[in-house]
Amino acid sequence: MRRRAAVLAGRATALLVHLVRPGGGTAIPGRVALRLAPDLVGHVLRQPPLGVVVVSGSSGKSTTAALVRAILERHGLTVLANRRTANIPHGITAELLPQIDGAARTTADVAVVEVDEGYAGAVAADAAARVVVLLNVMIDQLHRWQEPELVAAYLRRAAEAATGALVVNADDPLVAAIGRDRELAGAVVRRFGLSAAVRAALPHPPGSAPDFSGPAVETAADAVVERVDGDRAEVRTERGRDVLRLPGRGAHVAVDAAAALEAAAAVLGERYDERLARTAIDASAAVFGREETVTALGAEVELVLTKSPATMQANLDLLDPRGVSTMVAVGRDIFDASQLWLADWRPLEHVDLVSGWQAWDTALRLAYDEVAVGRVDEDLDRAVVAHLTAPLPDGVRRRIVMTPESMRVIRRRLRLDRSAS
Amino acid sequence: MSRVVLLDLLPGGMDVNGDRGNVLALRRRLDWARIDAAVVTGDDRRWWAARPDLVHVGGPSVAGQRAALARLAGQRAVLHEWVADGVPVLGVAGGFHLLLDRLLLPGDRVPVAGLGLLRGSSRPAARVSGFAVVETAIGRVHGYHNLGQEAELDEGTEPWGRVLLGAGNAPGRPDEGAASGRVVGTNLHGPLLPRNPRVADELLGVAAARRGLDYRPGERHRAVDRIAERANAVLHARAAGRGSRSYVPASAGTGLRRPV
Repeated sequence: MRRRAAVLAGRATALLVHLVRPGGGTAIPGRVALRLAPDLVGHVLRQPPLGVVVVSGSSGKSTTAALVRAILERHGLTVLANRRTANIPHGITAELLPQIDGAARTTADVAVVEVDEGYAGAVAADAAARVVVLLNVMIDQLHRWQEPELVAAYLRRAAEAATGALVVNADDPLVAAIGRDRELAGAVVRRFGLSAAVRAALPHPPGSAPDFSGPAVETAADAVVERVDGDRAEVRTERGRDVLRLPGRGAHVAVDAAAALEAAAAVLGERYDERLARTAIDASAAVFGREETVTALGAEVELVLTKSPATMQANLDLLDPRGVSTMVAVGRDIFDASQLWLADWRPLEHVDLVSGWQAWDTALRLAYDEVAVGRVDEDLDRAVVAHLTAPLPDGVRRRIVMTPESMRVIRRRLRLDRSAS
Repeated sequence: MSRVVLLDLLPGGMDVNGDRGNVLALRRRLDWARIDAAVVTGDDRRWWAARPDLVHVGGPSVAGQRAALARLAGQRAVLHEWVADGVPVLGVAGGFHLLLDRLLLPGDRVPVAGLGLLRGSSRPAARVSGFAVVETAIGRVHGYHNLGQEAELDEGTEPWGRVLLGAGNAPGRPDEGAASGRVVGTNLHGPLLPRNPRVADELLGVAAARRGLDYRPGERHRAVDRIAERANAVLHARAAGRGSRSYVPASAGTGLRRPV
């Protein structure tokens, strides 16, 4: 009864919110529903017969969860999921509301949820997660996390809640240590990672936080990325060797794909079909890829999203500055500008326009990497219009490198309705 | 030709707050002044055999501080020798606390000996995370603070500055950091030097003079420092707007409890 009321109230709120602010993604309906039925998330996620996969870690949650979902769907399963990547309990609830009936029931075969690091333990425990995927602990958002070790402690709780397999990144020191400890406690642990050769070829290390708790854990992975070339990667598992088309370029995306293969195999067991997994990943590549270049105000512009210092670096390393006019927009999500100093910005070479909440700090950062800066305009709305309408010589393309908060502002300004985080 | 040797004492893997930006700033400012520089880091074998003209101690996480002290314990004597010889030392955030005499690290029950370059002790405290503005002898300094430790200076040890906005050595107290001779420690982390070029230039003047070189900032420095001024004006306004409380943006998770 209480849950029925929660679902009804949540849906009514969603309708209201939609009337007031069409297109705006919001967690308010989830907040309302959780107020009435605090156990709603666990109650819903415990229903699918094949269980729930919880994906967490600093970086790569959305990509990994989307790939796990795609593989499971390709195997003919219906999947309950937070597809819009709202990943704290209110947001997850808001996303689940349209996928359940009035009595908070679901007919889905399996659930896949990405969960914010801080809530991963609580959600994994409430949902009795069958498979928990831990991607990494990056140096990220320290104004919120204070120290990487705290994030690792939250993820450890999620690992301890896994009733089936724990899937961990063998290359991430803090996450690998969690895998080691869980294995010693008798849990089933599967690992993914990069081959030594791929690691050695990276322009910068992946940005994982160090582990000071003991000797480094070095373990062979079950799914190994053996080659990365742009958006192609070769992944070796005990089930075979796959050449995958990734939903983005770079080793960090290849690692997410390897994680997804292991997670899906852990859910499906005997039913897992490597060929279906590969075609699922190839098909998602097409869906993601379209988001990178958009047309607005009559101009084509490539949008490059950078989040934590680690993904910032991975993305910067992939950029070719030749023939490109670049704008950089860093928002309030890089609350402490010190984080900008953890990345090497030299690959940009030249930036025409710097904007966003951290515009001046970003310009300062670029100056010390001797990246030439055209001008600074803190007003992001004005800057993005200027960048898209500035006359350019033939053959020069436009690019915006930005953080998620700036991305939201820019998408709103350019009336690009596709949700992205 | 003579060149200035900078020692970045902690290994790069320990940098969580962008403290290496300080070393980058020192290197670039020397380069722009046409002075050659070499950077030795705690990752290098036998770093203690380097003859540095300036030592930078970055601030790792608490676990990192514990690991750093274990690494550095055997080299305390060489650090003291350098300081006695007039080598300037800058410790930022956790790196400042490592320079003190004693540290009770969060989660520990027994204090450990610090590097002993500044008179005082460090102990666990409520986490402070936010902007800070500090008045020092060489002018106003802007930065960011993210520490769950506080510093208590011994009688007779001078703070580096006085808190104008944000927090200093301990919540509610005006003293910030510590300075003794050419050793400076501050709770502010990360790119303290690029955004406060006067602090950088004072250190570089001393370091260059040790090699008989005259460090003089030029037009390039001034152009970059104008950007720093704008960045600091923005930070100052934000710090003033939010008072001295630490600020966590609305998008960050609230109600998070520490894991048990």
